[in-house]
Amino acid sequence: MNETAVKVKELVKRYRELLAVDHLNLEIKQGEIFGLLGPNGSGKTTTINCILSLLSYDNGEIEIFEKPMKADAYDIKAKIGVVMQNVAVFEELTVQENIDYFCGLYINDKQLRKQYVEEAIQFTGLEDFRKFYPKKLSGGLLRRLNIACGIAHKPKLIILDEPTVAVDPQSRNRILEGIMELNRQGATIIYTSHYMEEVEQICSRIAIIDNGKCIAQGTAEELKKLIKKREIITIDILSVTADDIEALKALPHVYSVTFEDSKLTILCDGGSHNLVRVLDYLQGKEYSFGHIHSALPTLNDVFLEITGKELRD
Amino acid sequence: MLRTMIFSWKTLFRDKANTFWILLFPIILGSFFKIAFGNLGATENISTIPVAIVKSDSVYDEQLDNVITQLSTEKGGFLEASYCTEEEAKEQLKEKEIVGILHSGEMVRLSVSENMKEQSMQQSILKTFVDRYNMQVNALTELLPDHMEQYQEMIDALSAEITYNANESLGRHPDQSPYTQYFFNLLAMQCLFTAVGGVLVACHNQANLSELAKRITVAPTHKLIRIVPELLAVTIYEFVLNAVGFAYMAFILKIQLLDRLPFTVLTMFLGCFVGVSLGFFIGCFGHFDQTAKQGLVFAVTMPLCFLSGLMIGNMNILIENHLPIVNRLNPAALLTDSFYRLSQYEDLSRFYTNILTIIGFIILFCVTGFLMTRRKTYAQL
Repeated sequence: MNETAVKVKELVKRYRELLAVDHLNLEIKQGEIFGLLGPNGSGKTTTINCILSLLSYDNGEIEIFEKPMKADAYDIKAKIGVVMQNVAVFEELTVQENIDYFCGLYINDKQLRKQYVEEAIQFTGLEDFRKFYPKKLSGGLLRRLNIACGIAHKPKLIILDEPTVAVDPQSRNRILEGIMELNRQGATIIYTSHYMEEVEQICSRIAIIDNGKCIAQGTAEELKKLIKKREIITIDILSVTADDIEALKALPHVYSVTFEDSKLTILCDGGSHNLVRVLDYLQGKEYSFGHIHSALPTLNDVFLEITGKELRD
Repeated sequence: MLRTMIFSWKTLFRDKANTFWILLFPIILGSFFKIAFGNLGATENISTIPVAIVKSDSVYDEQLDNVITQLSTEKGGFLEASYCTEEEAKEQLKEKEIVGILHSGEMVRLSVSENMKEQSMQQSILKTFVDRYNMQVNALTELLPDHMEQYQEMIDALSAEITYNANESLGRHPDQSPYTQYFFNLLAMQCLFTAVGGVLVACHNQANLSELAKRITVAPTHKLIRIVPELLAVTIYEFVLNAVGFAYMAFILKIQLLDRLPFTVLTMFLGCFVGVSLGFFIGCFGHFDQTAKQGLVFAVTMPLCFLSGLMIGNMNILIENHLPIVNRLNPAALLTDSFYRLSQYEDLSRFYTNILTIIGFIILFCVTGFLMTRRKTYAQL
């Protein structure tokens, strides 16, 4: 499927003097899991709210399924499911009633709605909690209910705004697996998060946003190729001389060597067997060393290298 | 539509704290009113009002005489008048044999005792009578020099109007305790407090007010289809709760409220509807949270109830004399007056006017509130 699900063109949103979204361009294809990654306050949720026509914006165009998105575009809205950042359910309705209520805003047929509600309950693993009121649910279960309310009507486009905030690892895994399953069933997903591991795990394409601007866009691998850093080697060692640091820098593909707090950090810009060459050098000098770690760059490294700051603040 | 109403009823019914207070508050306040005023009504009889007339030995005595005669108990009126000197009158007032002294003159002057709080209703009637009399005499004085030939007709017209108004105020139940008025005020307050439910409707449908509203707003349902059934559901629910309070007052506290029951029920329903629509209207304004808006509702409804006489019984009479437009536009005063008219008046024309005004307010609040929410994208969430 190569048709466009969401197209955002030159979107600008100001809150008085603050430029929350700055000429943002996005194109999300149908069938993708598209990640919007950025630190808190980067403009992810504002962008989502503009896409949903909840927020007015100062400039730009937004199309969903190749039609302009407006507050009264009910035909488009019928195809969208939203899972808000904060849990949005009725405290006075049970799990099943909440899902039924929100599903009923999209589905009029009583039998079909009943079937969809049951499927949403099973999909989110809330079978044992259907008669529970939200205040009796744990944080993870509450998040699952929040998701069930957003997806019960089987939307073609699902927008999830940080759905795993304050969720235990078990529930988080279940949620992420569920999102991938929804995508396998044909839904296009927009997933916003500041958890880079999650985004890297489930998203087919990612846009990194900072200060309302899209600073990089592509697959996780494409994004990592944007930066020089390809391998990070860290070694616990008591001491090294300045000559050793210079000698290590002279090894192939090594472009940075630092020693701080008994930790030697070596950055490589590609190549293979970098770790073997470093260890050969240290053994040749008869250094004794402890813990050794070699890692590939993360999206945080991408973010750090592009913006000069950490993704998580 | 019915589905939305059923879900609204479920959420309202399960909000135990809210339901409890809506039910309990009028019952508690009604009980206090009954304890405080229950026996006072028995000591006051407003079917006749004893007054002393002090003549001024001037041309003005005759016109006052004419009117007093028309309003005397012998002619079926409400004044039990006796003529005496000022000293005698003051003595009678001190001994509580009379409610007030009418001093004849170009402008009739009324003297009442400050220590006769239990006769405040009778004093108010006298005050209304004197104000009206003076106003009419003033009008006659201005007109007479040009229309001397119509002197007798004008005097007759003046007597007839005051007699009519006096008869009107005596009502269907002259034996009814004047403090029943407080229960009418309480019913009006109950109705207006349903505005809290109206705020809830606004908060469910304005995306800048709650997360829940955001989720509801992104759904492909027209706002009118969501708001109308929710407003109706809240109105019906609040009406049922108010009916419980009403039944408690009527059957347990034995307050005379069951006269013209269908009209009373209609007034209560429209009272709840105007309350809910007022709350919806207030809820649609500004970017405050639900609690702040509910606070705003109390800040609006309490002064309205105060002006209708909930805290000070004569307040509505004072307003009627000095700024009657407030009573015509204050929903609490309109409701109180409607209950009062149903209880006391044969002629219901003013009741119908009140009801039409209330319906007008409902339409105004609902339409304005809806216009503020429809097709809206927000500058800030």
